Amino acid sequence: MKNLWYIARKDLLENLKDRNSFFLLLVMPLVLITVIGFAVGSFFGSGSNQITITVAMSNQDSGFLGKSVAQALQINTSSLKITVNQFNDPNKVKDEVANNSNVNAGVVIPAGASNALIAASQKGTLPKNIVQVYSLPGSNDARPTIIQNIVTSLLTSEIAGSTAVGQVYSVCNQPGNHCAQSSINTQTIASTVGQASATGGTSAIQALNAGKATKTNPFDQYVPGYAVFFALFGINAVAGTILQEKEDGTFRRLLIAPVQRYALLGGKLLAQFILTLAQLAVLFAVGYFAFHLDIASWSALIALLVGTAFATTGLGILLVSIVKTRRQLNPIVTLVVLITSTIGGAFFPLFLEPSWMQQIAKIGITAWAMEGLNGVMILGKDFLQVAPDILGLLIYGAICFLIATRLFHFQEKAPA
Amino acid sequence: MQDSTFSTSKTGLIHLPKDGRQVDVQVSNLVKTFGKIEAVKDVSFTIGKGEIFGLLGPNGAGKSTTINMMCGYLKPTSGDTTIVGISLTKEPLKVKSIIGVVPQEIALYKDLSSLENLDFFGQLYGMPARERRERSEEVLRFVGLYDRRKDPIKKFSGGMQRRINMAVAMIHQPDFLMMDEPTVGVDPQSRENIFDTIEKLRDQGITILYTTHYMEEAERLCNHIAIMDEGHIIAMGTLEQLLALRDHTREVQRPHGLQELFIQLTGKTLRD
Repeated sequence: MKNLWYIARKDLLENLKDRNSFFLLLVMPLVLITVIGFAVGSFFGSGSNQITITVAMSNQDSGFLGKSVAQALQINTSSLKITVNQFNDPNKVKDEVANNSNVNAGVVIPAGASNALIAASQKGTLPKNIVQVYSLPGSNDARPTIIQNIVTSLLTSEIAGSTAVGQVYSVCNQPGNHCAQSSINTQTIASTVGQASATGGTSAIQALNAGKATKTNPFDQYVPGYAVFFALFGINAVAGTILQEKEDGTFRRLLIAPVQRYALLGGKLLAQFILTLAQLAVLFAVGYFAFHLDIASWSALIALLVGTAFATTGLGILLVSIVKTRRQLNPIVTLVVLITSTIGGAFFPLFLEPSWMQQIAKIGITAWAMEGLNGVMILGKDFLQVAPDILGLLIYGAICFLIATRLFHFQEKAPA
Repeated sequence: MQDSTFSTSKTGLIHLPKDGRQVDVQVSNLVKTFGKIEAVKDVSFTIGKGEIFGLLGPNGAGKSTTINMMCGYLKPTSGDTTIVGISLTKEPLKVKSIIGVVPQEIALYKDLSSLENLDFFGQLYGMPARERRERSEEVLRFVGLYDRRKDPIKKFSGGMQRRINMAVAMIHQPDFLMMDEPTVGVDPQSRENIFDTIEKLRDQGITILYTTHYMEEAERLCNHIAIMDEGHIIAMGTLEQLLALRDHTREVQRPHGLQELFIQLTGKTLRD
């Protein structure tokens, strides 16, 4: 066992002395995580739960309706912020929606909209096309719908209020009825009924939460994703170091020394395991302090990182038992890492994939690791809930190591 | 004390003299096949204690395969090697702990210093820390590189790397040292230094197996010499015995007798 540790320590010492490998090991993943996290974080979530909407608006109406719509769109809460850009020319609103990618919707309130609403109410008919809401055609963006709902809700209440006033006058004007016209406060009736129609239903509904909130910090995805991605590239290191030792003749020298073969492979495995674990630990530590990662269970996270390091190292040993030269190794590792990372959830959450794809992805380490890490960091799962993923990683590594010991060629198969 | 007798395909029987020497290494009927290729065919010889035994042969003759089997790197198809009475087949780890191998290539960790390389290999041979430190300094002085002990190997010249390559094989004070072409690619000064080191080791009573393509090296250093070709030993004996085998009617202009004999026995056909 001592020899196993001596070989591992020698490998670690060699790595420590190679500054370039340290750069690749730690700095590169951190730079990439930071750049990607900030650059494309909005695809995964803007970094907070607040939805921001910019509206181009043109209010041609001099009555109450234009003011009410403008007022209704003045929202700035923790979950929704609407910015309204006012334009005099209604055509400018259409241009803004069509050409300015920062504008999410357009609202035009034509002149006489308030009067048209009142007239329709007094006739007992439903007003049509009083306010125009513009959005891009065929868009999946939900933000124009939010604006449309706000305006619709406002119009509904205004119509209800106006209709109520119309009904009061209608009843008073019927033969036999006597109303003191001055005692009818049309504004109070309209606003009271309007508010009741707009908010009455709200109070009847009790809003409750179930489960844990889904986090939208992009670094909760990008830190584990790229950490696992770069840990997989560690396969190059574990396999490369053995192949290099074979090419340099030092592997033969180790075999000539009184060292058991298990110690030789085990030492290599241990060194790479420690390096990979250290790499993952540093990336997550930086992620936690710099990018405020949300970690539901530390014990689950540690177990997942240990499992990932173990499985990665096992896969490295397996690859080196199959390939013969470093030239063969590089394209194989690149292919394996890119495919398993893409389908395994390194770049976007695994749970967004179809379930059949999630199952196929489990052929690689990334899917096991990311399912667990997404669970702990995005879905708030605890140790027991991600235990299958931890176990999967450990079994994955053990199987790789067992196959590798069967296939690994200690001796030459051709004359020396 | 042993009388060794060998049959050879080209020279008939050669008898090593009953000189009373103590046999340190006994190679018995070594055979190694790789698929259908028989790289080493029934090779046997003995090496006396404190002797430098030269193993010569053209490329592909089977020298390195023989050494690889003698040091436990390759498992022989049949046959065995016994070092100071211990069978390599039966007790491989025990034999490995008393032999040292200077490989043909520079088999060192080039990012580590010479001291770190020696310390690492000393650990593998189970040497305690203090002994490793003392012995490392001793062998570094022995090969004349003590002052460069903290420099990484990659900063050394080819000759210096060869000397460290040799020092690593000596760190655990082996009884038997196998040197596979240790002077390849070194300048005359480094080569002379390596010769001096080998002679000092011989004077200390260490048994050495030495392979080389340079006949003058074998003439200078070796007590006994075996010439291998196509997996066989085709001639073996002391330098004088081998020189006596020469056909003096041929190649009379050659300055080196052993070179002349070597070409007579192995021919001029290129091997690679």
